[in-house]
Amino acid sequence: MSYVDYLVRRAIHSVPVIFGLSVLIFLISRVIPGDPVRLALGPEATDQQVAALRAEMGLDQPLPMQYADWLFGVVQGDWGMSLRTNNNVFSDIVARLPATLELTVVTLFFAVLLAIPFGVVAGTNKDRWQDHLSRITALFGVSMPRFWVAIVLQIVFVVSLGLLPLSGRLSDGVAPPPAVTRLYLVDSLIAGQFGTFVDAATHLLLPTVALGLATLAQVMRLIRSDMIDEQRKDYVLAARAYGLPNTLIEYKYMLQNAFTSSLTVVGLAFGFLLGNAFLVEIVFAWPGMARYGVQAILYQDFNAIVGVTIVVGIGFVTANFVVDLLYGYLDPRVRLEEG
Amino acid sequence: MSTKTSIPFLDTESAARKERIRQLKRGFRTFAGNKLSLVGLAMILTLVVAALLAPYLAPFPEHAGAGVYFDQASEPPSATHLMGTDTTGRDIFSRVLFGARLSLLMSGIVLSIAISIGVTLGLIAGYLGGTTNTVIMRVTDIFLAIPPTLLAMAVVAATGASLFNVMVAIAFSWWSWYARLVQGEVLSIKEDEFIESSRALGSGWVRTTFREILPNVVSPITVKATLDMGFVILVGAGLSFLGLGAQPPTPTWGAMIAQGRNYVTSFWWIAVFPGLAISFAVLGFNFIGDGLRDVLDVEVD
Amino acid sequence: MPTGNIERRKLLKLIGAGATSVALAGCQGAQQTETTDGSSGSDSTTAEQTSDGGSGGASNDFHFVAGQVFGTLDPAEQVDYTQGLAAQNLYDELITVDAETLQPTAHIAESWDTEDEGKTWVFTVRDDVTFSDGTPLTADDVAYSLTRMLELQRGYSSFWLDYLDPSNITVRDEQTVAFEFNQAYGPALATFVQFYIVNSTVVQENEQDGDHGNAYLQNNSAGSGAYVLDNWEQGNSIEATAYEDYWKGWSEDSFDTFRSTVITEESTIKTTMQQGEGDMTDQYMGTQAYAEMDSYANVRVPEVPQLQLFHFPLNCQKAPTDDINVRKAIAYAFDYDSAVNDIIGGGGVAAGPVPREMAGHNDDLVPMEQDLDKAKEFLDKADYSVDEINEIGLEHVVVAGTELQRQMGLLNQAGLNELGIDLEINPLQWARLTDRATSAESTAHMTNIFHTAKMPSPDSHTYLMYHPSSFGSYISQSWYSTDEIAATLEEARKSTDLQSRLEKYEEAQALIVEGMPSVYIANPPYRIGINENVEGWQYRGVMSFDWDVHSMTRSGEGRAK
Repeated sequence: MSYVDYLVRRAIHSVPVIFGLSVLIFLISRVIPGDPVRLALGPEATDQQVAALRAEMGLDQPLPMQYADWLFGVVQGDWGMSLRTNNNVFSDIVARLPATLELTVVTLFFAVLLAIPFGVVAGTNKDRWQDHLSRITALFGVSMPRFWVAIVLQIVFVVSLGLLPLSGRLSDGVAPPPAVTRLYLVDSLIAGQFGTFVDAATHLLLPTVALGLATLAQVMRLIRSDMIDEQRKDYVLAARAYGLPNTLIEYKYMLQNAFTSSLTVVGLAFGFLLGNAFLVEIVFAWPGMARYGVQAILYQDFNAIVGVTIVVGIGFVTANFVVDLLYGYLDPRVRLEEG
Repeated sequence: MSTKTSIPFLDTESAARKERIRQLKRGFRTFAGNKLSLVGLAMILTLVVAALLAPYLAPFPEHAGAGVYFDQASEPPSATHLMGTDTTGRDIFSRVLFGARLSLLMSGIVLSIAISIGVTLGLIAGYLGGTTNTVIMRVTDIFLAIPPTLLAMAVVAATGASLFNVMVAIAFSWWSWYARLVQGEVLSIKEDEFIESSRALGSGWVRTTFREILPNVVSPITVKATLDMGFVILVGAGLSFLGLGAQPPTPTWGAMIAQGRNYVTSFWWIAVFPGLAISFAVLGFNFIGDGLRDVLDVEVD
Repeated sequence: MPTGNIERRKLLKLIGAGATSVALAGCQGAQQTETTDGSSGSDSTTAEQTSDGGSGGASNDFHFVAGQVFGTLDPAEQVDYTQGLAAQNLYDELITVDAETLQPTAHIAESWDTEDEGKTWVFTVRDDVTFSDGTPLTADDVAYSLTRMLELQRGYSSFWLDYLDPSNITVRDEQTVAFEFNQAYGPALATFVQFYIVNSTVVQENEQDGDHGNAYLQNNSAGSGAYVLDNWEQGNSIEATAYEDYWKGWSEDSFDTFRSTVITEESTIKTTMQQGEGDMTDQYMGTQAYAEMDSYANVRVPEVPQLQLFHFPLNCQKAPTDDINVRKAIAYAFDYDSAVNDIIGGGGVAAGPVPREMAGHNDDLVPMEQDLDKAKEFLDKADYSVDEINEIGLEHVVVAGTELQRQMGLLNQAGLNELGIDLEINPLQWARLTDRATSAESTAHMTNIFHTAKMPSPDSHTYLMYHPSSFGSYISQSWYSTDEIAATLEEARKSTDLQSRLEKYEEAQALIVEGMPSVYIANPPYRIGINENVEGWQYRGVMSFDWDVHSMTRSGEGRAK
């Protein structure tokens, strides 16, 4: 099977998953109790107004029709109106997505960057103290609730030490940099606003740590076990026999191979970060999509719930897809097995 | 079916059994040799004892129920109140103990439901194959494509906030991994000789399932379930942190943190101690799970 | 704010480096398209708008920290305190409240008169008021705005719906408008404090599908108020710039911009105030939060008595609270002292529905006290046994997220627990709560409600709560009235003489209290956090009126941030 065939097969496989997800979430959102229309219009609304808006939103139609309408709208960028913000859910999400992406991408980057050396050290020192330490640290990392870590960080670094800002993406009164990517770190550098860059970075620091600890732990353990597998392989033994320096063997050859298989987890980790950003964004009042999602859930804003869930689902599936692609590209055996 | 033909089969079976017992014994020694697992076991036993004996261990058991004690509100940790009191004067230590009950109970129930659903669907899919398999596994893929926390939040939003709904919602979001695992095992084992032979010998598929397939998936399920005990506690805490769980005065750990969050600037202990309790419980299960993983030699993410 | 300075400040903003998220006036067209494109929430819109500059630091900006989202910016729809805050600053009301007497006083209407035995109200409109587009405010705008409210039937339109037909609004000349009610309507003057005037030309030009310009007014202001809307990031913030030609004029130290951001986390609100980034908070946080803010060097927390009732309406149309003995048992089981002293931390126990500071409060009514023996007596007399009550399940709805609300629920739970009654506390979002209040079946057995005077008249705390025509609102969740109560309240409204009107309201209060339709808990004091360097704040008695930013100033040090 050629690489292109493999790509197409994988892509086709993703479509029914996303489609099915949309049906699932749509159904869940439609059993929400209470009258969403009355909620939207407020207590003073008359019955006629309620009926009119219900008809306008298509809520008087049977469920399959509602779903078809909704799907048709989604394709055209009309994701329905948020009952909380009165905006199109799509534009609400588009406006908030960059904040969430900035948080998750920065978190993933640092988690992986730190996980590599720790993982290598642990893997090449199997069953020695370095390994045990990394194991215990990792288990601690995945055991603490992220929202609680976030609060503890606030208590220590904001309340007690007064070193960092409590919440938000920028200090009050600091204007966002000119929008290019809408990632403040990038945009502020493009505009040469270093003050803004520093401000954005200090706001990112605590959320990143709170969100990233568990991911760092997971990726570190994975790299460790891959390193252990690699060590047993012939080429490593041969290289050692030739007297190549250990560091070179470890970081250049072994890590390269180990990293290939770790990619899967990095992809998954990205998906999980998206999923876990919810509570962390709430604690830090981070103006992202995840916070929007939680608010949607608390306010039973059903179009927004569907929208956010679909976006996260697509992010999840896409991350897996991209990982599979890279994986198939780097390791042709995968394609053959699938074929 | 003659006696002659059945003897080799019985032999194989008893041999397999002996082997399994040997493995278990070896496993127990490995587990016992793994200090972390023992620590984990001790932690969880402590937690279970604390949960069971909460009414006797808690210095102020009445603080877990309806009641307000404003004369001792927001007191820092002291000998009387080991973890301080909250803004309504309730002893946080007592509430944390009762919270352990709720967390363990919730996690246990959620996993029982999730594993039952997952294993059943996985068995059906793997065993029957064909269209049934495709349909079930596609649905499983859908559930795998969404973070369980998010799905559970959406379900609770739809069904209303309560401890029962939270359990249903998490179980609903949690079964997919088990279905995938069991289906995979069934597919690979189905091709194995001894299943083939047992089928050839005419034993029913129910019997095959229970005698041959389930024992093979017990190890990975045990490991995964142990780790999941902790992770379900985390997800449940997250939901009750958002106010989607049990309602006041129920002392769930997540809700206690949510309350303390308003006071990070003044009364740090209100949020900190329940969070430590969660970390303690999850860490305990992770230590055990990690040890079991080595013992049973299975790969579980 | 001297008008000459405005251009200079704009210039400073354009060339200045540094930052503010305040968008400049004059970008409204661009903003509207962008907002409909949907760039709320994140800061993308303002990013584009302010990319060419920020504040030079000379601008005097007012920042209100609100704990609740802005549901609507259309002044015809406003009902809650954030909506009131927006209306108060972007629009002008026909009649306002005097800060000293807390009575209705002249505003856009400079004088008024009644004709036809109090049925017709004639208002003379000031001739020096202009809208933000420069056109003068006339009697036509007043007539249009009230007609618009009656036709939209939202917000406070219920004040007039039963008494005033749009066809009976007449413009007599450019400055004179007459409202002919179908009966004498005593509280009319007081109700007009909730009547904000919109620019009829602009709103009519922007009508879509007969929406009376409602959609347009969500993203634009069309009023004569002191500030002009620049940007509304729905659910997050509103930003507005001073209107140079505001009819009341500006002082050197007035605020150039008014901004309100929504922060729902109490700890974040506190730090925002502590760091001097916020100028004012709302009054709905936990008592502890105000005590803590009071300890900050740069924040003061004024405490004044206010025209507010905190109570649990008891649903009188739903078992088991349809039984008066059950209601009495619940009321006697509640610990009022603890509610006032430990939770609210001030003020006094309520005596009936009308706040004690309000003219027209019946002083014969005495506050309730906890008495568990009496509670048990009434419970014994009730048609329901404790087991039956627990079988039904008593539900107490509190607003999710705030400490005070939660603690009130716990206190109530503790009291009822003494009687053997289990109480289920159900925290709900505000929107969901008001949704449930629309029918007696869906209304909870009891609900935490803060009822702040909506107008300077006891009508607000009697008619709006216990007249059958008011049912279905969060204010009237007792679903309780009798023919006698209804008749007395109607007589009160018909009475044109203030003194006899107040007597009727007092009579009504006595009748209402007999039925124990609510657990009347407290008249909480009014507390907000104010930045120490903000001057001129005054309590005004009616919800949101004290947040009139035009009346406040900041001089000297505090200005440049």
